[in-house]
This record gives sequence, C-alpha cells and structure tokens, in this order.
Amino acid sequence: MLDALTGALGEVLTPTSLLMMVIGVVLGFVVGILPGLGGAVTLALLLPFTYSMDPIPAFALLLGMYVVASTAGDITSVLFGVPGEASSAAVVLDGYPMTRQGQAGRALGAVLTSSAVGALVGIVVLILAIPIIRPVILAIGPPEFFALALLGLTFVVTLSSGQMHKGLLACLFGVLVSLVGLDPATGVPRFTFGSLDLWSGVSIVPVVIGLFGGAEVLQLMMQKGSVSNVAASPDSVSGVKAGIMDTLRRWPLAMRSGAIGTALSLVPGMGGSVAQFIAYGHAKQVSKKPEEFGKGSVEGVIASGATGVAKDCGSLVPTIAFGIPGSASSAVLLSAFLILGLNPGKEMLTTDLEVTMSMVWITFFATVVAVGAALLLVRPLARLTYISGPLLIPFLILLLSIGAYSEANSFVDIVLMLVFVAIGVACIRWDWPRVPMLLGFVLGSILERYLFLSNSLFGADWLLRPAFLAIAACIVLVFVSYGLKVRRQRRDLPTPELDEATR
Amino acid sequence: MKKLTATAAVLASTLALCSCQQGSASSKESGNFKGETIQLVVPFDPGGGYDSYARQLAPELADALGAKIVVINKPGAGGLIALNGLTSAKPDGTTIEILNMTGTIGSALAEADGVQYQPEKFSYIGQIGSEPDVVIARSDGEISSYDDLAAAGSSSAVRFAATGPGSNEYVDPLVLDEALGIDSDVVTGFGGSGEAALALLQGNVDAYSRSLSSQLPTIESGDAVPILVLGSDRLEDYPDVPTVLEEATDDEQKAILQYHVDLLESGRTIAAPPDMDEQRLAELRAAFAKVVQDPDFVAEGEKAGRPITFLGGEEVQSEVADLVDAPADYVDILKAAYSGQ
Amino acid sequence: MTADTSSTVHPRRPGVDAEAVGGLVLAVVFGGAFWLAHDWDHQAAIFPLCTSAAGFLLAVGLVVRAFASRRMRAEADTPHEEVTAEDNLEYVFQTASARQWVVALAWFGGFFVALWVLGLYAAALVFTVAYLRTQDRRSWLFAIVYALILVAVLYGAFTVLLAKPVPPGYFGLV
Repeated sequence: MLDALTGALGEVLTPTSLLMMVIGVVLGFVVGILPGLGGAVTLALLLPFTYSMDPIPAFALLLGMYVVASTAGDITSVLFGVPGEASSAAVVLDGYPMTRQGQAGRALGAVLTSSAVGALVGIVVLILAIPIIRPVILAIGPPEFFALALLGLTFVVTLSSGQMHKGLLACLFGVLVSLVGLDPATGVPRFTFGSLDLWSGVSIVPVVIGLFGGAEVLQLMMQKGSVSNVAASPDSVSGVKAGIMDTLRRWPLAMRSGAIGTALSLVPGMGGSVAQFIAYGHAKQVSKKPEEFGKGSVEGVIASGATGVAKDCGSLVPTIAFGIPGSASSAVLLSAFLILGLNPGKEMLTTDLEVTMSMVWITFFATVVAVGAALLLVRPLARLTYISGPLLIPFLILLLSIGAYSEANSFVDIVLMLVFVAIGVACIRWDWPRVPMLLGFVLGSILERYLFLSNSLFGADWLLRPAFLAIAACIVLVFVSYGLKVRRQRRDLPTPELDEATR
Repeated sequence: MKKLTATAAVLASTLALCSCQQGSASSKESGNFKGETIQLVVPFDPGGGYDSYARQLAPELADALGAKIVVINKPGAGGLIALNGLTSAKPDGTTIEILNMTGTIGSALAEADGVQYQPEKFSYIGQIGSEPDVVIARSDGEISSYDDLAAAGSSSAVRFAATGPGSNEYVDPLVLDEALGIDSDVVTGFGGSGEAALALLQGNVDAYSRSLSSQLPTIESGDAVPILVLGSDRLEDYPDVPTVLEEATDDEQKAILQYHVDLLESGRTIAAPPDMDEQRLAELRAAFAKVVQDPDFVAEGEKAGRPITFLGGEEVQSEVADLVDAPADYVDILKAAYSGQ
Repeated sequence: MTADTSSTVHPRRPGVDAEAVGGLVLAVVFGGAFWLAHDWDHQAAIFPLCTSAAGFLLAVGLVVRAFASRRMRAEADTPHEEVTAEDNLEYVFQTASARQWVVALAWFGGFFVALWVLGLYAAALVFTVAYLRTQDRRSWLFAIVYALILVAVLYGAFTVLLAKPVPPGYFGLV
C-alpha cells in the first residue's frame, strides 16, 4: 500500500499531470466563485477533453477542478452572502456577518485554512479506509440514515438560540418545504399547487440564496453603506493571518468537522448539502460561546468550511469501491473511469491501487495549491467589501438571479428565491431564527424517505440494528447533555424568562 | 508525442472553455441553419447519460450544420416540463431535444398527470442510442441466474429496487410479473439509482433492472451479475444470459414482452417540435445521419460507455406511430406502474 | 439574559403582537398543509400530516403564549427574552422608515420585473444605469460606463466562456 502511495506520487509529479492540475485549479476557481455553476456541469463539459489522455493527467484535470470548486464557493459566501456552491451555504451563516463587521480577511483566512484541514482529514480517511471500506459501506443502510437525519435534527435545539418554540416552528416549516414535489415512493404530487415546475421539489440553492443572500442585498439597499459596516483599515483587511491562526488553534474542531463531512458522504444517500449543517450544528453544540453563532462566530465558519473538500473525498469512495456514484458529480467521474478504461470495484483497491492513490495525491495538491493561491488573493478580495453599497447592488442582484436561475435554467427558481427573500426578511424583522428552517429543509425529506425505506425493507427489525442503536444512543446523549446544561444555567442565573417558562 | 499534443489541445480548448460547443462558423455548408443558434435541450440533470449523449453530439452536429449549438439542461417532473416545452416551441428547429422514448411514450400511454404532448406529433430527427434493460442480482446471493429468479418468483415475491413509480426500474418488474408470472415486490423511494444499486449489493433487495450501460460498472466490478436481458438479442459479453423473449411460453405473453422490448429499444432520440418546416427538418435529419454514422463518432461513444445506434428520422417517426398503439393489457400495466399501484 | 441597559433596544425587540401574528400566519400555513394532505394516498400523506399537525399545535401555542405574556407584561413591565443589544450587526429592517422600505422594495422588485420582461443583460443595463443615477447620484457617463462594463463581464463569463444560458426575457431577448 505504501508502494502504491509513493508510486502514485511519482505519477502525479510529472509535468503533464501538474499542468493539467493547474488548469483544473484555475477552472475550479472560476466555477466555484460564480454562483449557480455547479461542479457537475463543468465536469461534464471537461469530459470530452480527457478522451485522449492517460488516467492520471485526466484525473488531475477533473479532480483538480472538482475539489477546488468546493473551496472557491466559500469565498463568494463570505464576501457577499450568496453561496458560490450549494455546499457552501452554511459558510454564509457566520462568514457573511464577519464580513459585515469588517473581518472579511479573517473569515476568508479561516475558511480556506479549514477547507485544507478538512481535505487532509478526508484524504487520511480515504487512505486508511481502503482495506475496510467495502464492508463498512455495505453495512450502512436506510435505518442508519434515518437515525443520522434524526440526530441532525436534534441540533434544532441548539440552533434556535434560546428561542426553542420559534425554532421548532421554523424547522417544521422547513420540513414542509422539503416535502414539496412528487413523493419518491408513491409518485403523488404533494404541495405542488397544480404546477409541474414544483414536481421535482424545491432545491436548496434558491432557498439559501433567498433566505440569506437576498435579505442581505435588500438590507444593503436600505442602508446604502458598504458591505462592511466598519471603515477600512489596514488591520481589518489583512486579518488573513489571524484567520489562519484561528483555524490552526481550533484544529480539533476543523478535523472533527472534516470527519463529519467525509463520513456523511461515504455512502450515497445523505447528499452533499447536509454535512455542512450537521458540522455547523455540532460546532455550536460544543462551543463555549454558542451565542456568537450566526453573528460572526469564527468557529461556525471553520466548521462549515471544513466539510467542503472533505465531502468530495468521501463521495469518491463508493464510486471507486463499487462503481456506484453518490452524487451527480461523481456520476460524471464514473464515466471518466470508463472512458479511461478503469473498472471501479475491487480492482481499484488492489491492482489499480496506484490510480486510486494518485487521486488522493491530486486532491491533496489541488487543495494546497488552491488554498495557497486563494490566500494570496484574499487581500484584494476583502477590499471589495469596502466598495460603496450602491455600486455593488447591481452586481449583487445579478449574482442572485443568475445563481437561482442556473441550476435548472428555470425562471420558477427565481420566483422561489424571491419568496424566500420575503421569508428571510420577515425572519430578520421579527426575530425568527432562519437556520433551523434550513436544517428542517435539508433533513425533512431524507427523514421521511429513509423511514419508509427502512420499513419496507426490514419491517420493524431495523429498530434493532446495532449501528442504528448506536446513533440512537447519541441522540439520547445530546438531549441529556442539553438538559444538564439548561439546568446548570438555570441554577447559575435565574432569569425572568426562565421563570416564566416554568410557571 | 500523443501526450503532448493532447495536452496542448486541452490547454488551448479549456482556456476558452467549451467554445467548442459553439462549433466553428467556418463550415462550408450553406444551409438554412448557418449562423443560427440551436438549443439542444436535455430534460435531465447534467452528468447523466442523456446529458453525455447530447454533449457528445452538440459540437459535431453544430459543425455539420454550420450553426452554434448550446446544450441546456431543463430537468423537472421526470422530463415532462421539457417535453411539454418542446410541444410549444417554435417549429423552426432552433429548439431540439434529446428524448427518453420509453418515458415519453410510457407516460403518454399511461395518461400520467401533467402530460401535455402527443409523442407521435414530435418531428423526429433520428435515434442516437438504443439499448436493452438488464436485470442484475448480487453475485453471491441466492438468486444468480434467471432460473433462480423464476423459481423464487413463483413461490414468493422477489424484491426489486426502484427510484420511483413510472421509471423503467419500476415498470420492468411489473411486466415480468404479468407476462412471466414472476411475483415481484417493488421497493420504491430510493433517492437515486446509486442508492438503489447499493441496496442490491447490500442484500436489501434481490434484483434491480435498468439500462445496460448503467448496470455495466456494477457488473464489471464483479459485485453483480446480469440474469435477464429485456431486449431482442443476448448480450455479446454475456452470451449465457437469456432474453425475456426466449422465456415466453405462449403468444399472449410474447405479445406483451415483444411490445415492452420494442418500447425499451426505441431508446434515445433527438426530436424537434411538432409541425416542423419540412425543408429544415430534412436538413437536420441529413446532418444528424451524417454525424451519427461517422465511425469516429461511434468509436468515441463506445469508448465512453455510450453505445451509438443510428436510426433515421423517418424510421423513428413511423416506429413511434406504431408504438403509441399499444396492447390494452400493456396499457393497464403502465397505468398501474404510474399510479404506484 | 442580562437586564436592559438602554431604552433604545426596546423598539428592536419583536412586540408581543408581532409574535402573535407570526404564530397565526404559521397556524394558517400548517393548517392549510394539513388540509391539503388529508386526501392523499396513505403512505404519501402520513408524514406531511404529522408535520403539519405538530406545526399547527406549536403555532397555536405560540399565539396563546404571546397573549399570556402580554397580560403578564401589562401587570408588571418586566423585560423578557434575550436582548440582542450587543449585536454588532445593526439590522436596518427594524429601524427603517416606511419610505425606505417602499424605495428599496420598489427597486428590488423592479429589477425582477425588468428581468422577466427584458432578459438578463438588458435588465442589468437598464437597472444599473437607473439605480446609479437616482440612488447614488452618479453622472450619466459614470453610470453608463459602469453598466456597460458590468454587462460585458457577465456576457463574457456566462455566454461566451461558459455557454451557459441566462434568464431570457418575456420576448425571448437575452
């Protein structure tokens, strides 16, 4: 195995491969920064170019592009509050507030560094998991996903920021939105109001762009200042170093979040946009300053940033090990395998191990190169946030519309986005938490799907599967720890609010 | 050397990413489409089979027509939105679409909600791909051949995986049930075909049926074996696997299976809106025929795991006219499949 | 959690009535969802029914609680709930005047109407010039040049480089 690792390194460090990787990194940057332009489309566009290439340079191009797009998407999230990729949505939650406080440099430094840390975790998992990966993937099924989704939902408690009642309501509303569309099991159209456009459901991009980006743009219009509320000073722009240090100092958090990202994407099912919110929720849960979350907590930025590349590593695993793609992007990568004459499956873990290992190296180098380059670019990028607001408005409003439109090339998504702008504004105006809504939205349909799948596959037996029981125990633990925390707080600071609640 | 030229090519072309899509306007032909922009609509998400076929075709077809072709993904409602859109598009050939014929005809026959088109009315430019469906099972499972499947299906229900009602994955087991008496229980609700395939490998379901090229990676990885071909011929690489038609014992069964196979093999076609201008349609058909029959094009498709099968526009048109006249029994199966029973 | 220190925070806190109205709106939404779901196929309906029922009950609970705390607040004017005075993020939504709201919403909505009618590039051009002229008091020259550059960059990135469709207008303009 070590031989394969070093052999692959030699293959990756050839001029052709390196050149391809640099091209991939540049493309990934463009694709990632522009909202609405996903990695999957770009991979599909690049695929024809790989026909005449050898496997390793081809993967250098494709994978280089793919993993960098995830990292670059975070930059748009931090700077403008509009996620560059669907998987960068959670970075908006704290990254953009930091920018508003004039800490764009620090936020970018933190998110880029944590993306690299997350990638490292993903890579290590990938390497270590190779001997045991097939049995692990085969052991995780719908019941475990159901339990994981449930575990994710328990973060509502934390993410509601002391407004439990409203948080739960927002979450249930999110669940309701996630159910829009054809029911996957029975084909019944639900909450579609007779419109075919809603049959495939509401996708996450217009929801996040509206709920966060749209509301922020409207606010900028009313207020007419620059994105950053704080005047530019050399100090605030160059906070990059501080951001890097923030992440390095909180390395356990970054590594845990990276592990969450990788683990949740190992088996097809949860989807790439879930991991970021779970990591975010977990970061708030364990944080010493949970009250800062949503208002510019660097911990929130680190946790959500770390899942970016990590989840890409994870989703490669089932593609390599079984020829089963976990996402649209890995479906395109799978066709690249076939074009290049590689057979996914056991061979990739034995005879073709070197190719697999080269993918590990490519992910590593591409991330390092991209993060390095991005860190150099941070200063000019951060200056953008000091431009006068009215000048930025036309640009931002265009980002919103292109971002919402591009996924399905449908005007309906723009309308949906506007609906969520209205909801987002209402939430801010009357102080309702937005994050639980998003959590309910990403987990709602998953919860339903795996509940019914578990039942139709296993009857009631699934309730006794060991992995399911383990996760269920975690859920109980979360509640117990939360209960203890509340009790401790109540003893320490008796407040009128809590008195009221107990009456 | 080959490596270097390839590198140079990629470098040049990726820097102006996919400007290749637009074809060069340098073509010598002086057709109707010269200099025009054609939208090639893909009714599914990027990255899937239909998307790949469309993206392989677009630059070549653009060259042959001297036009610019832009591939546009319009996913939604299992392709219905794009199909309805094609019905109302301007019939001048500037909007064309790659169709999943099985789904297109199937939903129309089942009178599924939301269908606002008539498949026989579209102007077909030609067929680009056609392949059978293949039923696979786990290689180390209890069912590993058609005989096992038939035996299991006669005593208790065989569990098939499917993403949702109305898909091939769902219709195939119902047809097998009706025609060959293989009792089946279709488990729906998988988030995607990847999950469904994984459920098979995990042993949570017994069998899974979908198109050959989608099944191949799982078969070639050695984790699954093909056990039945829903097509007219046996597979070249797996000659021991029987076809459904061989298994039919009486004429009634055979009629249903034959129709089902024909419907599956109507494959992937390119179509233009109804009531197309004759001359422009002829030009599109000619350009398409030229491109898709080119050996290089076929070889490229083969290499990418997307076998190219050509059929001219007129033939497809008459085939579709035949297919919309389906046996009543079959329509009943489809209706059951679309309503999720 | 801590006691109020300044009176300026008061108007920024959602009023009890706003709470009640929010609860009522959600109760209607969840109630409507429940009603829509009740005649679907059993398997398709069960999860939406549970969700909307729970939502409905919680929403009604919120309304009740809001009224209860209003009575309590009338009795003793004690501040409640977590006060976010120390927020660094000054959300303008709480303080904006009606005029500001109308102006911002008109521009925001106006852009999307223009987008629907004119298509992306034309709408971007018109909006940018108009917005910079009226809202930022820039010169005609500046506004036009800025708008042209913006559109050129977009066109270069999306249409030329990526061949990606952008929202066309109602009349098929792009």
